[in-house]
Amino acid sequence: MRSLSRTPECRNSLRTWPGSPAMAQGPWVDKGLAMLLILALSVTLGMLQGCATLGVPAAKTFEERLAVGYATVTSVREAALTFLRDKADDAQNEEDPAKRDALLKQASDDAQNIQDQADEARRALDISRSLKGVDFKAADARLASTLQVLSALQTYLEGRR
Amino acid sequence: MNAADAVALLIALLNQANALGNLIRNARAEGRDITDEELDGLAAGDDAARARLQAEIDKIRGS
Repeated sequence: MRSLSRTPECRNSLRTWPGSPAMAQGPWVDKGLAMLLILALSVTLGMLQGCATLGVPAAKTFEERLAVGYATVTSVREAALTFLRDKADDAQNEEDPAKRDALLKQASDDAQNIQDQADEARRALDISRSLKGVDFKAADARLASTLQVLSALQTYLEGRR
Repeated sequence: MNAADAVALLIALLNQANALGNLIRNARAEGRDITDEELDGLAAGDDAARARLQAEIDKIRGS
């Protein structure tokens, strides 16, 4: 499943992605969370190109690509939930209350960050859907841009492992 | 990172991809595109995932 985003435009869109906290600089997310997010993004965004092995067709039409977008945002949230529950379990094994609280705070902050980013992507998908009946060109461009940003996120996380 | 949790997530993701693949295949077999109702279903699924994640975050922050 080839990463789509190695162009300067994609890297720039990643840096200016609304709410993204200087993603291009320094550590941003727990490695475990990064791995889960890469997993989620690889599986769902891979549907844009299709996968013969899994029998998954490539998404072609606007509606099909929009469906992949919705599924991708959902999978990102599910990955964040898996990470959060895992970290919460780890924290329960920490004897030092201060360290336990710090672990829980970091995990919940990371998860909220992912939630907020997913919300931004979801809003963009909803806007592109609502634009379709009014200005298809703008809707298609908005959708393509949102999917590209999600792909750029995948590339970014792969570089952070 | 718990390997069992990662595997469980992978299985869930593959099931989701399979379901989405079926949605696309069925639509094409019927000579149509994905309908608004089907898109609404996917959006509702995301709303539910959002709610589950937020509930877990709020539970941890409240504890």
